Amino acid sequence: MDEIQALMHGFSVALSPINIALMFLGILLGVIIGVLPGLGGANGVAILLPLTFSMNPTSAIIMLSCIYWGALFGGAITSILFNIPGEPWSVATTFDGYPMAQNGQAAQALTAAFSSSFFGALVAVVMITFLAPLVAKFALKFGPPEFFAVQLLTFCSFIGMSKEPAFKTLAAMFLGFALAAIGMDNVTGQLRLTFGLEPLIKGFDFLIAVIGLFGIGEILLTMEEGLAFRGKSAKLTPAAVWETWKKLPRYWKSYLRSSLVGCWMGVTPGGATPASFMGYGIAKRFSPNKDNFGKGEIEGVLAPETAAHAAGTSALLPMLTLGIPGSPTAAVLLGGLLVWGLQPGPLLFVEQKDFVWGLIASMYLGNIVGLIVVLATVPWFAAILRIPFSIIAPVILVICAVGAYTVHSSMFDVWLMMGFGVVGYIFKKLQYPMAPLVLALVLGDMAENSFRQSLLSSSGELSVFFSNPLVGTITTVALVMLVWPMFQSLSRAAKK
Amino acid sequence: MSEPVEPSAASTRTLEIITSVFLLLLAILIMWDSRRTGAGWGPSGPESGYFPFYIGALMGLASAVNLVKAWRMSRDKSFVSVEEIRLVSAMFFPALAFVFAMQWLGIYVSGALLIAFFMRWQGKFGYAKCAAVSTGTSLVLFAMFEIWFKVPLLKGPIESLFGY
Repeated sequence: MDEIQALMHGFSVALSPINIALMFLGILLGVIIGVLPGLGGANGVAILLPLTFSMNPTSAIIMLSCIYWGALFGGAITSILFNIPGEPWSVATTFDGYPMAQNGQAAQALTAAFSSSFFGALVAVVMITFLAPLVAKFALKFGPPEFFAVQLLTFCSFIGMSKEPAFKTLAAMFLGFALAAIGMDNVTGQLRLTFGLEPLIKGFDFLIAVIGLFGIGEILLTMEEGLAFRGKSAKLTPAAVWETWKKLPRYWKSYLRSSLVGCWMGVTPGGATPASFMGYGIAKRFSPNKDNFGKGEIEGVLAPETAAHAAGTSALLPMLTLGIPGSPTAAVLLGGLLVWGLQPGPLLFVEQKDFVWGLIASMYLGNIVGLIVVLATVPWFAAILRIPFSIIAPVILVICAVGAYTVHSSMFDVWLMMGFGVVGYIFKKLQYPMAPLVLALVLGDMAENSFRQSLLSSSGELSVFFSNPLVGTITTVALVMLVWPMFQSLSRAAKK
Repeated sequence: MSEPVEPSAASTRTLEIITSVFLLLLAILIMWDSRRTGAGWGPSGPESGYFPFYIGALMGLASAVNLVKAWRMSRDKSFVSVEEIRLVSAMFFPALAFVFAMQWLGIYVSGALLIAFFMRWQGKFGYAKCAAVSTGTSLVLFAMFEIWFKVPLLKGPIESLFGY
């Protein structure tokens, strides 16, 4: 099997001492990011991205993706011990994780969460190993219309799946597209939407938007809640870990369901957060201990964690094969590829074998490293949370400013970050979703290019998006995804 | 969650209306500028403003729907209470001052000042602790960026005293 051979080659790339060291560093940084409020997967990776500009791309992506796994692990710690979800995808983990900690079962809850995260990620990586090359091979036949149709599908499914009001999702998404359009038009060289302002000519960098929206916005929100952390301390003894591990196989059905939900939601850009809620919901519906959910049921911890990690990991599949990220963090990683001079998309599997398979191999290794690291170091990370917010808040703010400044060494970006911070605060409170905004900002130029090329080839006929069965099917599915929620809300209104 | 009765500084409805009007105006601005660069079909295919024009149009449409929805909302729901806005300002305005000071003092010094100030003001820590944490953070950042990863950040007069 070609994949196995390629994967083995990948392991030989990933297993160099420097890459393993970067894996550990990445996981540690990631867990810290996941634990701290105001720093999350997306903006943590965005802040650290400039540090990797001079590294070789394979080492860089290994470190950054490990930060991502670390952040996925870290979110669970705060949810279980402090009832504060460090990341949006660990909200569902608080439902049963925190009650378990209250009942003195913190060790079991943490072990279950970490092990399930590991399992979910593993299923997703195995899927990526065997599916990604096929998808990439298939996508090599894509022309501009097919690419635009897939991008359309990505954005339409956001509207179809998001919990937020559909029209707010639309507004946020188009704001992202508009911001992406600012600056020089790369086809005609004309300046667009710059209004004579010089710093706008090079356009908006989405890294700044990510740091502002997620970082500064989150700090302001946390400030508003006037948080005082009061949590359970954590001790993980090998015996407690072992006892919990013996119990876990019993829930294999839940694992299977959550992994499937997670992989599906990750590949289609539903993302880890809705996946975790769906995983929780499904586990609750099918569990014999339905009534114990919310009071400290271990299945209520493992189901959302498995789904969240499966989704978070499989979000990298469309990013690698099609150049379309399935989550904001994957979008930031995609931005990294562009910075390192790699063109994301199906050709990556042909031209950059070392990079792709090194990354996939590092996903296996990174998650093993991650599981070991979090199990061994939980008490320290729990201690980080006892640092008062009056220290953490200004430190994170300084780190965000440093991150924004390093992107282009420009003071303007730091002001921009503050602006995005205010937008992030208001948008979050008004339920304008930020993920589609960021994705549109990242993909805007690509979507526009494939749209223009498609129209060029058809001399302006929109029918090009239905010109063959493949592109026609994708476009139709996309439109159904778009119209479905509106149809639903109309039919609901009609029933009343 | 129990909702404590606090005086509200602004209702959610007000903020919804402001946001949707802002986005609507932005959409109109985008469409106007796209018309300027050409939103039609030029000799080399779609002109520069073609794609942004429709982006603006759809954004405007979505914002208009949001505006109508916001208009019909109840006025009771609070967006932010007086107490909450006070807490948020306690972070936001020092942060603005920090970004402002950065231009002269560099990131490291202004960052240390922000941390020390905030710890003293909001956290009521002793002076020694404030000084230790703030200079410590800046030194770690300095070591990481300037020495380890060799990414130069904004520096001011104090760094140049030490020859950087």
